[in-house]
Amino acid sequence: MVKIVVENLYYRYPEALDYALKNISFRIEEGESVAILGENGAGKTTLAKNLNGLLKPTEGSVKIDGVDTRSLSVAKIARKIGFVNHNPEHQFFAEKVEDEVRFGLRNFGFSEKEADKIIQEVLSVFGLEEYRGRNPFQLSGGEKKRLAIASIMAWRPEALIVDEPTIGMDYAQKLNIRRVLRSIVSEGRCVIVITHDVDFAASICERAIVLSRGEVIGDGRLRDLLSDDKLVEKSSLRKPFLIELEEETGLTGLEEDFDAISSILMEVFQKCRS
Amino acid sequence: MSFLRAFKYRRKDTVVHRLDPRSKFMLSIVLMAISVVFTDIRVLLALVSGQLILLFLAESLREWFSSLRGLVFFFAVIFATQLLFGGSFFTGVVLSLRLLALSSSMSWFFLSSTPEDIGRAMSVAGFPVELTFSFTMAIRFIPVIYDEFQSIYDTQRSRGLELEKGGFRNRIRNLMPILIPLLVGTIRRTYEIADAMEVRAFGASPKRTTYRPLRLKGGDYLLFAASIILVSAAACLKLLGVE
Amino acid sequence: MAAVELRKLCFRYAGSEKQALSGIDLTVEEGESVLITGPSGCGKSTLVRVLMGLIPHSYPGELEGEAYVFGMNVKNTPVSRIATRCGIVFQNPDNQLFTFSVEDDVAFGPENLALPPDEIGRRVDEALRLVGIEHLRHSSPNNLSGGEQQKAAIASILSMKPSLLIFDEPTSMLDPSSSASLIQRIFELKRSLSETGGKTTVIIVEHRIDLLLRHLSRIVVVSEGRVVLDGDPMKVLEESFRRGIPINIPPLLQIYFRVREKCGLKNPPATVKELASMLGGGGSKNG
Repeated sequence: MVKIVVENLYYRYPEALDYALKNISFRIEEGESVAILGENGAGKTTLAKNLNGLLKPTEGSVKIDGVDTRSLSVAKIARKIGFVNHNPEHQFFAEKVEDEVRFGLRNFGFSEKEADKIIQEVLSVFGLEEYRGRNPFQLSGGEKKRLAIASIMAWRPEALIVDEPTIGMDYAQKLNIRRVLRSIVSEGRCVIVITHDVDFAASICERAIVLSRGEVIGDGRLRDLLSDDKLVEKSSLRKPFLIELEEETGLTGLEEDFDAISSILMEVFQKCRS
Repeated sequence: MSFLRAFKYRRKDTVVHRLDPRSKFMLSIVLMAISVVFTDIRVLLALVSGQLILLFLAESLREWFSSLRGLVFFFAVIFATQLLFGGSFFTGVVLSLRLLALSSSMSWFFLSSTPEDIGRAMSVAGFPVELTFSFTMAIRFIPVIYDEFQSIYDTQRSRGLELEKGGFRNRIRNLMPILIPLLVGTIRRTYEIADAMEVRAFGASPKRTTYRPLRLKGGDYLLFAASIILVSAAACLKLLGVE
Repeated sequence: MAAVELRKLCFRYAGSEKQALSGIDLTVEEGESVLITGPSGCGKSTLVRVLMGLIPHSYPGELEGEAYVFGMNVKNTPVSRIATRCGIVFQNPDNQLFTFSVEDDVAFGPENLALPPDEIGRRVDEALRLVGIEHLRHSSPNNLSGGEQQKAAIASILSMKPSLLIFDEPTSMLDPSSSASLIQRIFELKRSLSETGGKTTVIIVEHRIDLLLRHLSRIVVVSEGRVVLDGDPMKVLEESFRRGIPINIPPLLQIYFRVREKCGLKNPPATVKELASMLGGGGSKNG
């Protein structure tokens, strides 16, 4: 299983004067679920691209299983660490949904027979079977997102980085994406979610790395970090609803299920009344 | 790529930048024409020196200088052909100078004129409004489309696409995952832009007004005068038998 | 005269088998602040395109029923005329700014209307002021953040002095703080415009209900091309909850609707703190 070690990472874009990332260090172990949080321009996507080799550090290092990314090609890293862009339409080029899934498999040397089997499985797991022969561009927003993730998960990378999975999604679509990501986490894979949506992050990730202006201002258990008022303010984020509720009611361990929360609250309320 | 830096507009506030694009364009054309018509090294040297002054006034010497790096390739080709086909070193120098004069005369124009100024000059010159907008908008959206291309390229690389590998046919096929999303994205973008233009009443009336109309000022008349003088001087020189 | 009057409106995009709109009845009076929401693909964006006349003029298809905007029949009024009364701001900030400076983009509309340069100047100044971006006047769109670009897009619509402002998912590409700032700005400017005389109507198509809730006078829920709910925001949200219509009911209200009967709550809480104290407090922060 994959291990990512980032040491004193500095990154500067070629034509830029300032560093986009400054002195970043952390380790991500196998199977962790990490949210990378921060306001727009904090450097989240830049960091993610340094993790999968699309960008190579200006100073410092990123090591995947002990090997420096500078000595690895993007394709080699991609086999272990999948990256899902925030815009699924930046990847669609096949005429049929199934061929979108086939693309990665072909690139990584799977035989046609193996590929067929995997495609069948993957489409079924992601609820896209009925769209198999359809043109990817004809799918709805949520289906496109699922297809993008499916086409990456097809070659079973040990880690998955997802950039802004909930942009433009309505409530039902968000729940779907959440279900998909949670199942990937439960398989023991490492999932790194880049997002602004603190509630979404809280419902999937154990750990959070908070960026502000290119620096890490918080790294630890998500719930702990986002209960810290000062940190929340400094990063221009918001406290997740569940955490706020826990703080105001004194309850703990609330999960995002409104029916469950409501039953708990009603019980507490009955107790208070009596 | 560095060669192109000599033509990319930089926002500066110099005497040259403030001139009307029409007068600049006229002078630019005159200088180009003269550099093509003469082979006398003194004329060409004078032209290049004059351009350097203009570039200096436009505070753009650095960009021009970096274009020289790109031109070196063409200079090498010129000298090589001279050597191979029995020309002289001196002719090589002359031809290189001419290339330099030509490229410089376009360079200072593009460096000091905003795309919208060029667009406005175009519409005043009688080009249809749709054409002018196509031109300026293409320039406006180049960086945007480039970013989209970069994003698509990154995405496909992250799916194992390796453009450098494989034979010729394979490499062409490998371009599809980049070209198709880019094309689709660009077409979609043009629909959105068209909608945005329509809801701002584009096409409401055949005659548009201009918020900041182009106005010729003293400096522009100076440039027009200079152009006329240069054309006459060139004609005289030619009559006097200068090559 | 109503700002918007739609009766039995049906529309099918050319080449599509599905009906995008299957009989919309909607009237919006001047001065209202209306949210149009609904699950993805319900027809919301199609609906606002009809309001601007982009359907049927730019998007071919079968349009049946009646659609009037300020008394103009959308079917036979050119978009450029409708644009003098209505303005629309789309999702993607980038594709709505076509020139090299915000100032020129804001002047674009009035230039198309062939207004005299002094008038254009006045309108540009006013529009920039209303949106609070005078400091961005000379900025190039490429150098602006998403939120700033959206504000510039709004200014470029305001310079045409529309009485109806339509926003099609304006925050979907923005981060939470830019979204909040944009929504705030939209309703501040609605107030400013109303103060200088003439009622301004605002129609927003959005998923993110919580940001907007306190500014709205009405919510319209569209599903599968039809209006399924239309009325007072709280009542519509509660009814959507009861019927299980998948719209983004704010989490606070999700809980409120579930517990209100049992706990005898009368009014919806505005904050988590309020909810906690309504339920008898006892939180780690209280008491």
